Amino acid sequence: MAEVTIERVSKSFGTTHVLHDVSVAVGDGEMLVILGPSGCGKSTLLRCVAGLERVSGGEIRIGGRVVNDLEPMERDIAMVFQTYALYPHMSVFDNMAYGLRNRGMERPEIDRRVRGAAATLGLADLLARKPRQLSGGQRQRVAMGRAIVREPAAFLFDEPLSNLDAKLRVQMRQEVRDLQTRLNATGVYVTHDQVEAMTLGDRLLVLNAGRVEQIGAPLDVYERPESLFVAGFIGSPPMNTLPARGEGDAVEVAGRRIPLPPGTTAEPGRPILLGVRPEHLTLAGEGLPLLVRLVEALGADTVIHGTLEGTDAPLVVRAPGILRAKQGDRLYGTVPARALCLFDPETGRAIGL
Amino acid sequence: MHKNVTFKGWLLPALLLVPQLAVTFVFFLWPAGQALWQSMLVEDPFGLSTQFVWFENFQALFHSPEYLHSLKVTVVFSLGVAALGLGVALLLAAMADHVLRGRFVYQTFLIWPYAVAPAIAGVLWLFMFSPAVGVVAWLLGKVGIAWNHQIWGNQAMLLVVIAAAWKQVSYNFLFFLAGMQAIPRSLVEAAAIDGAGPGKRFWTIVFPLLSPTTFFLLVVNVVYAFFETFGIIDAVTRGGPAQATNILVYKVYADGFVGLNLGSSAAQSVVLMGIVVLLTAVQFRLVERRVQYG
Repeated sequence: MAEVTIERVSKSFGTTHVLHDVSVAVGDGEMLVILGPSGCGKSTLLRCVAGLERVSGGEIRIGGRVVNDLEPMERDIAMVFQTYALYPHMSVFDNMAYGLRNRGMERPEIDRRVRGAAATLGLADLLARKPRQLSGGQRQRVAMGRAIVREPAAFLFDEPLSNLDAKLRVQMRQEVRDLQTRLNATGVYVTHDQVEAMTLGDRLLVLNAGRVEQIGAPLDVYERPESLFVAGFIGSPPMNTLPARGEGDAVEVAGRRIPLPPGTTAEPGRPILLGVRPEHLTLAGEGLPLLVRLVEALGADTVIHGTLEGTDAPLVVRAPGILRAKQGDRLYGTVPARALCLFDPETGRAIGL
Repeated sequence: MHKNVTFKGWLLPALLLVPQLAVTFVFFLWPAGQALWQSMLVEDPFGLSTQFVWFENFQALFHSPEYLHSLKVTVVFSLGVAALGLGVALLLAAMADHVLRGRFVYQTFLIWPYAVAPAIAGVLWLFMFSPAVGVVAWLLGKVGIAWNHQIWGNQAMLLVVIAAAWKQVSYNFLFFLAGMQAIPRSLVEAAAIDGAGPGKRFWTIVFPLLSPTTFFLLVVNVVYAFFETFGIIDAVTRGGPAQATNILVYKVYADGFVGLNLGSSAAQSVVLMGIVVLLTAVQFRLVERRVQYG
């Protein structure tokens, strides 16, 4: 295992710039998840690390070695593809052994590694089968097995679970995380699925239009988004952003004063977007007034969609348990000061908290 | 969407079927029947009397050294055409698959030879290799190879194989290219990450996945070499020199229409008919089997 360093990497296809100045370092044994909407360049970044695409600028190092000009096979990485990319004419055993044979490994060693990986992944009885005789989940496991037997410096995952049905995805998600921690593997995992992003990674990189929006531990990114994009992209339903105005040690929203945490100030009169997670609003007899438009009762909790009274800003509250409310009701919600996020409406970036 | 049209009564459907049935009967069943009948007749040299001889024509055929020689020539010729046609097409398709800029132009030009009539193709190659005026023959002479396919049988065989294969390369190329483009890109990329170089990727991943296409094309090419190369042989060598390129189809013509040995010629036709039936059956089985991956 080794660390993977991406430094100021950019990539363009002709005149289309896909990646701008992306920098991130993945530590030894760390799992970095790259999250972003489709077309943000996350797969391209992964393919640059794999060597399937050449970078247009910057440097990629794997285990301290600059790999910019190395072929994929020379980079000592293994990749799990979204479509699994199993060789259809080879048995499960041969699929896993292919990379080892290409490297001229001795037969007994190949046998040992493939059988070891197959046992780990529960594929021991399927080694003679062809990929078309396997279910989606089994194919996914073979694809992972093919990566594991190589014992590479780093694993690259390109949305490996997105072709599975919802139930299997939950199960495989846990298996991937379990396997990665057990092998103490360095991994880069690309996904557009928030749940995978929150649960699989040690750190999260949010990519938008080829630029890094934020890098951090998943919960930090969730609680302290550094930009409006991240605030709106992570969390379901996403963070509320309410138009507000600075008042020194408080902000004013829809004619109400909300105090800021101690030590934080906002210049009086400065326009601000106030970010509040839906679950941080507590329904009470006072606070921000919410006109109910739609109620989603999910059982475990209730999601109430509405608008902030006196404005047309949408406001969503996630209240625990079952709550009876209907369209047109007026509810009030209070927010603890520590849960507030402030954004500059001009730049879309977070304001110093 | 699939719709079954149903007719009331039988007159209209019968009338609608008549033209196709008539064509089949006049141009296929009747001549085939004639050939079968004639293959069992022997005529005297002046065509004044015919005698029914059962299978004597066939018996004579398979005891005739010329016919067995022609059979051998045909096998060599069709294997040569198939090997050369498939090999070159595979190479061209592999290269065209990598071209990004101007690929449409390449593909279009590579398809053109297929539109050339066999006799014209034969004449084109004949001109290039003509011992007297051919540019290739002249170039070969420069490097010390004496080219005269009118004297040396092996050279004649090589020439007709090249001419016949050249025409078929286009067809094979189309199928190979389509086959290669149907292979998911990620498979080749996975192999690249798995440490296989370009050559190894081709032989261990791409070529095995093309095997249904290759087998289909092999049958098509053999059928082509057996039956559709008459024009090339006729234009280039007329079966010569010394029977060196006298393939079965050409021998039917030479014996029947030139030599006027109608009984033997008809028997040869019947043998060829048997071969067509066999190859068609193989091909049908192949299409039905439909090898599927994924």
